[in-house]
Amino acid sequence: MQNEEEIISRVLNGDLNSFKLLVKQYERLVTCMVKRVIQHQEDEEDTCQEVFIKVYKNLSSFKFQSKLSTWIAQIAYSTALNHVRKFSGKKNLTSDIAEFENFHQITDNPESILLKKNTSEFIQNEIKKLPLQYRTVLTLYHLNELSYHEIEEITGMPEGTVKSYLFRARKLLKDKLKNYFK
Amino acid sequence: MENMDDEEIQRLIEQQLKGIQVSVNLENDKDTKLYRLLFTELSHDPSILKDSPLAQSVVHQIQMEQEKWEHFYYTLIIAAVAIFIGSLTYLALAMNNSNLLNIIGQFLISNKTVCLFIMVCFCLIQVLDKYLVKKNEQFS
Repeated sequence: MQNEEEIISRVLNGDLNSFKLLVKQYERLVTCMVKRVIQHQEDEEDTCQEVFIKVYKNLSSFKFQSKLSTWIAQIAYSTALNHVRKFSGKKNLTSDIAEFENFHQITDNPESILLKKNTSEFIQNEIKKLPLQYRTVLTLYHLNELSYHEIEEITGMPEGTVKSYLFRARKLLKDKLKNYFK
Repeated sequence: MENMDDEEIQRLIEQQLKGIQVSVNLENDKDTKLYRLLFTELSHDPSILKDSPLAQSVVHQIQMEQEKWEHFYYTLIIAAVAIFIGSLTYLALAMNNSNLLNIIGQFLISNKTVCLFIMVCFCLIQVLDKYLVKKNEQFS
């Protein structure tokens, strides 16, 4: 793997092939994040492209104060969040959590559970139903393997909140799995 | 109480996954098995494609944008040069033959409708070229 600083300096000198390498390197990080936050297949690709174009345009302002992955994830998170705000019209996204936790018990419909082909598909479907913040921390922690501190930097949520959301999200999913196997 | 148990199980599994030795044996616990399964499933998303053309399309979009700006600067330079040449010509004419300048001015004023028509046609051709001809070229 090439040195990040070297790749960045090449990109800043106009080398688009180096930028292509950079996109490939962080494609999974951005795709996972955008996919889990937006949950609208048609907009996912456009948003991912938007994220990388923002990265390209703002790369000169990256001063290596954090890891490049954290910086890119920050851009991906804010872009995806703006997209959700724009289309859902919700300003306060934390209200999702309260709504969800009040109603998640009764949304379990046995017919929908029967329709799931396997456990993996069942879990992925249940993740989609979680509130945005839960999906975000689960994605960053488990799929992108980022630390609590990095998640705090990306999302702006305090580390304690990240841990709490992560715990509650996993517990909710575990309860769903328990029902699934009953 | 249940919360505490779940918290403890999650913490222990996390430690195990990080390679930290855990003294408590949780193997036969039902919740632990569910959590283990959950942790495994959470670490992958089968719907994320490994070979997507994202990098290619991002680079293509950047190239298109760069070309658009280059074209804009090129047009700007041409316009500046044209205005400069026009101004020089006007100055030269004004200094050498002010009568000729009056004749040209009167000709333009008396045929202003024709001049305006030519200018509108020119702009229309440019717009049609940009939005129809060049757009179609991209798809062909």
